[in-house]
Amino acid sequence: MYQNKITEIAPRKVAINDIDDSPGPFCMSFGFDLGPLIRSIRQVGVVNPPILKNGSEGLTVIAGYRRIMALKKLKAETAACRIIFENDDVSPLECLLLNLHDNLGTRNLNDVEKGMVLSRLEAWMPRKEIVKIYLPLLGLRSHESNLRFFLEIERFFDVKIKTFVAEGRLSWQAVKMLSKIDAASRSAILNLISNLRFNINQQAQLIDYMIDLAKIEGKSIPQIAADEELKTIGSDVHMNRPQHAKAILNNLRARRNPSVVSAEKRFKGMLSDLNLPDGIQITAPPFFEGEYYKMVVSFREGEDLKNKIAGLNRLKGLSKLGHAWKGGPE
Amino acid sequence: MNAFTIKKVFQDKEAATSSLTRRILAQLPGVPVQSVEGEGADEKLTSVESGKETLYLENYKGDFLKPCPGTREYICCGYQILNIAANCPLDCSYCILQSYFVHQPYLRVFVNLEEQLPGVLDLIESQPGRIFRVGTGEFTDSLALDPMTHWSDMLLPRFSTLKNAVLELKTKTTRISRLLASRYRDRIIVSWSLNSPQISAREEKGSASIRKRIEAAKQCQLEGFVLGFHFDPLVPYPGWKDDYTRTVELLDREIDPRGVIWISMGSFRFMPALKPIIRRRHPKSSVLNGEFILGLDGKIRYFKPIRIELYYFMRQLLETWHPDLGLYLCMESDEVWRSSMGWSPKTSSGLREYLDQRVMKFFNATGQTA
Repeated sequence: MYQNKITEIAPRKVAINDIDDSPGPFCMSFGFDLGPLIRSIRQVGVVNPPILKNGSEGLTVIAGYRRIMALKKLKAETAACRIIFENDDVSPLECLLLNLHDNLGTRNLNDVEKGMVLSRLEAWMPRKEIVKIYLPLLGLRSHESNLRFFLEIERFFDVKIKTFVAEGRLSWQAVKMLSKIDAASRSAILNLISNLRFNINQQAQLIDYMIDLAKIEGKSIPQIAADEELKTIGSDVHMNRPQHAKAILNNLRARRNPSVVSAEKRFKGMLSDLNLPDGIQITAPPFFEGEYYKMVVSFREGEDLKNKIAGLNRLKGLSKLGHAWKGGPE
Repeated sequence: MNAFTIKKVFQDKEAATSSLTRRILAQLPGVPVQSVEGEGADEKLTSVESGKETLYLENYKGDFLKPCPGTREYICCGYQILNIAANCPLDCSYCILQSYFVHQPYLRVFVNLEEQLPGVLDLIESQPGRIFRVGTGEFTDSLALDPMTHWSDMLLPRFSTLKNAVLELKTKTTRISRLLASRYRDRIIVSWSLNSPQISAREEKGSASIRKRIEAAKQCQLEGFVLGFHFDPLVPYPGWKDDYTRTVELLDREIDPRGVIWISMGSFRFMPALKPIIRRRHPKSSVLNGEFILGLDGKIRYFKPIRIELYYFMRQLLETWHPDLGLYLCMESDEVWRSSMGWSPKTSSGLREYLDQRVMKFFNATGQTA
């Protein structure tokens, strides 16, 4: 393999303008910010020389695309690069691996970039080998389903969603769920997540509700996302963005689970009617699935507790506290 | 009903000498057979779809008889599973096996059953004071592969001789010819999973229609078999009451209820991991449309009042058919039992006792209840 010899090639000065601007077939950079690299080069120069190929198309980048871009931004005239010539007989797979190892040695690839690597590798080797060797190399569990998932990100996601993924603004679970729905639905959900800044925990819940409601209400996901009620919530000037996100989730939840939400409201109403003394809290079991309510009494000392218990005993409505889950949706 | 087609057989090297292997392969002339070692088939099969056409013959390394895992926090019946196979050629949208065997989606038949069966029978006989309700229909359909495996030829004669056990064969098919050809009836229960005709048609791909199932049950009953039925999973949807009524009306027309040992009811419940699988594999399915909550056991199930309504309605319907059907709920709480059935066994051991009594009533078993 040529990788072993690459360090034996002495870097030589190359005119920056002679290097092809395009990322080329070996590049695995997505969603990068050149700023830190520019500052670094300005301070100490290029420590690790880019690798170029000198072929019929002139000088093209095998590894170091971002460094070349940074040098161009800095208006550098020349750069020290390692050059591989056509008659060196280096295969495209070797070029790809040179790039991969060059990257792995200096930074963590984001998830989109991992998809790019795997997609490029798939052209040159069997999936089994990729799963066994390259998924662990990228810090991923060695399983075929993981490979399929990352290939989906690379091949079927548009730039907008890839940017979200690369920046870590989508939860892993949300990305997986989005990968299973059509592009128009993905885009509609992504707009909501982006505009209202659903947090990582809320994203999967939002997607789940949207998919379920589309099925139950016989609408498309873009139609649900464009719903007037959601728009009204999203544009309510009395709420900030996290509040918008929460209110939209609540709205969708009430549509998805009307009986559960009604029962919760009824229970809240029952408690409110009780007028519990301060320091006493009654809670229902999650989703009313368990049979028992719980009561928590906060008190300073025995006398305080006695007073609170006496206060409870005086509550007229307490014996009427019943099953809030009975009654169905409102 | 679709015929199940096996297009490929993987045969574990250890399983090559088994008589069951030879018998199965004799039923599959022309089907390519590949010898593999260990879990060699895993890498070759990744999709459930191709898995349903692929048979993997292997020796089962664990105990053949195991208690049903049931579920924590809810009342369970204390069933015993005879582990003859894993996975099913039917393709029900709601089937939990899709997530249980996600990495082994092919039909696994445990061909050392014949060699291990005496040990299972010894174990049962060594506890004469206990009644074993044994079934083969938890991790596969009991009869779907019977024409190929001849399981019933192997199991019926042996279980018929036991004094403290019954064998329940649970199916959604009409593959009863080998049962009918057998001369053994004692201690054998043939059961059908039933649903509304709409759920059956939409969600139970590859299974027989409800009418055909009930006709097969009638045939079995006429031939002297005790019957069981399982309304599981009950699924509410607009018009469900009318549809389930149609199924019970069919039962009323065809089946003598006095020959029914039990009818269980369960509502759709699933581990969260199943949801994305159903969405992906069965995009037209409506089983996920109901109002679900996270149950005490970590499974997703219908909101309590919905379950109660389902069971209450079905109970009324079935009790109108016959007052003594051995109705019971699968994996439900004491509260849901009381609210829907009017009584509760209170605990899993209470339910075991109730069902053991049914066994004794039907088969005059000698065991004592737990």
